Amino acid sequence: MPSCEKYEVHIMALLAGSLDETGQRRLDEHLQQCPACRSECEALQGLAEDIELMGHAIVADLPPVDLAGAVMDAIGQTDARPAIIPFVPRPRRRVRWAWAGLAAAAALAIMIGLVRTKEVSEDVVDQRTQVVSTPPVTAQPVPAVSEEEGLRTPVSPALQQPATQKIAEEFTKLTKRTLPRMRPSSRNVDIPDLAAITVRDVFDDRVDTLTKEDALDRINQWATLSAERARQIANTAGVSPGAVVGASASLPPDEAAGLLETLIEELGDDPYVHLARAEALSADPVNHQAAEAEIAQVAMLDPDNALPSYLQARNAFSLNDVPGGLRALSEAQDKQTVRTYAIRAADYHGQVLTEAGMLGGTANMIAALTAGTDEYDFLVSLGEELLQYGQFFELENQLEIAQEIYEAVYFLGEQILGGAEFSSESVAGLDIQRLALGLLEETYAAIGAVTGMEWLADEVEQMIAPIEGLLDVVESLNAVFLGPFDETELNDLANALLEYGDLNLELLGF
Amino acid sequence: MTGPARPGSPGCLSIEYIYPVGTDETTDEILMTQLCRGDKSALAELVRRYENDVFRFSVHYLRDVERARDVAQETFIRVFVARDRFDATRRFRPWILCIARNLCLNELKRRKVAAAESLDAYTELAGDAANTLASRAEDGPDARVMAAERNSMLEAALDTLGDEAREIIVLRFFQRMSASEIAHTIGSTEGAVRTRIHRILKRLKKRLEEVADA
Repeated sequence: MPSCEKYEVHIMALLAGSLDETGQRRLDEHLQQCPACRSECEALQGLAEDIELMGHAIVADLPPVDLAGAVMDAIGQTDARPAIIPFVPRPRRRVRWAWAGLAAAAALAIMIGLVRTKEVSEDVVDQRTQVVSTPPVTAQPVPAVSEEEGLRTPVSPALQQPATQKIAEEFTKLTKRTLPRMRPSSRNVDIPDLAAITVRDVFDDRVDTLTKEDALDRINQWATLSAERARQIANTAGVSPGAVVGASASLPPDEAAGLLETLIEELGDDPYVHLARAEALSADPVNHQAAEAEIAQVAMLDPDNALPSYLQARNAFSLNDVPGGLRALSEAQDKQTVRTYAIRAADYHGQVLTEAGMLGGTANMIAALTAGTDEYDFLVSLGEELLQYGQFFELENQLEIAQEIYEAVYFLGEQILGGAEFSSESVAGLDIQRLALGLLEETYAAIGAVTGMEWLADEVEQMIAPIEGLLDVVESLNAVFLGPFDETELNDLANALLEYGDLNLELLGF
Repeated sequence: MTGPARPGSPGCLSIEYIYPVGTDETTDEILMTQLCRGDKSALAELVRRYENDVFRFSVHYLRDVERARDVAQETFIRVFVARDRFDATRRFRPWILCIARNLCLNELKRRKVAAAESLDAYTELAGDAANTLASRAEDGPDARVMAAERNSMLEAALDTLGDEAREIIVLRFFQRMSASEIAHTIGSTEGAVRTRIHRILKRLKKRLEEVADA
């Protein structure tokens, strides 16, 4: 009935609670004459009432809250009137499986792999860290900076020291005491005929890295191709595309970008190739748009990977596109993991070492032992760069933007832990989280966000346990070095690492 | 019930909250003006009036009781910080719920998958609510069984709503906000809100009919 349509507006208003008396009267008159509309209206009203009752019943038994004390305490600690008080991030769901894998993988990493860590970057850690680290506990926040500057860095009364300092100390123990460090070779190492290096040589050197300095240098040298050698391999007729990808890693960025472009047709479905090209292009700002296009390709090929969004955020901030950067960070946080395709990179590395003249097993073992180390550098650099942008906004007193960036980077660390294939990546995730927490701690302290400090203390506690677990596992598995491996087992192990990474021990047979 | 009843205020429904309704004549908007002049006790009064409203609002959004409490607390802190931005010619409740909503949406964005434990807890609350409503049916055991089935189906149908549709349900039927208040809270128009409410109810009705026929 065409006349019913004009009463649909009345029904809408009725259900929305905004039908006036005149409209109600007109609707009632129509409903008396139209059974279809009456039935429909009654059904919808009945449904609305049921939903209302359900909503009320859901919360009816909840005990009332009493927030006045906490709210008044929180605003009482805010002497200044900051432009905003930022939202306090809630503890996120930890990726528990990654921690279990990390602890065991650390043992494997010590046994057969190289885990690289990095010095705490002084560029990133705010100079105010030195102020924040001032002890001791008092009942009231202790101004550590002149109040004329409008800044206070109170020490949380719940902690004996700034929260993130505890992580830093644990992490330092981890890196200094047990995990081998890649360092630039400090001496000339004679490189023998590559074909003469056996997989046993590589493994034995790795076992020796904890006690002999030059053992690490040797593996480092064996793993690295000169640019000249890489060019030779790339220009060799008949060489596999994978080996060419591996070679590109040893070339200057502009050469690498050009080389990788020639492989797009053959390997265009491999997100790693696009990622590698994006990073090579990003080295020169003039290639910004081409880099963005490659990042978009990675996103298209792997839509669940948050890494492209973080790269886009980094690029946007570098161009002073703040809304674009924040938008990209927001998109990144909608995804679960960050993936760097470290297994593919290691596979390509093994291929180019084989082309360089190494025995296949040797090349695979070296690629497996060094896998993840470049990814560590890449990820931590990305995290640091984003944090530096956050610090810029903090200095501009745009605290909300700064905190949003810090929180996003903290989440980046968690996503890295979720997507890591090698333990070096996991360490990168930890490192990034540590850096982000340090800056968040300072920000919360500056604005007097008590609940933020409490959250942060909780996050710190959650981080310390896995780091300590890593230490324990490393110490206890030193004895494994005494276990015998024949050559076949070593080759199998290297192949398994290149297939599964070093975080899935059950797949490796451990 | 849309909060502490004030004489002549619209939107007061028949179901009362379990906590006492305040009788103070000072309106929320006057309290905000006092707060802007430096009277922090005005905020304390606003907290007293709205803490449970905001808390329950957040529970429906987040489906997490503990986090809803945190968001509710944060909401009042934001009210304090943003006090100079409040337009005293407008109503306070939609404004504070707008703040709470934004905080809830931020939280949902960060937490794409609700922690299983907290979601289970909310689901249990909803299930208990459905059973409670069913048990109150006065027409005998058979009617109560049918009511229980219907409420379970309703609960399941609500779970199938997308985030935006669920938000409309929460604001209109859980929070008993008018279309005008909803429009102000979510940044839409009253007409668009009315249309969405109608469409969502029709969709739910159809879903329930399909389930009943199956």
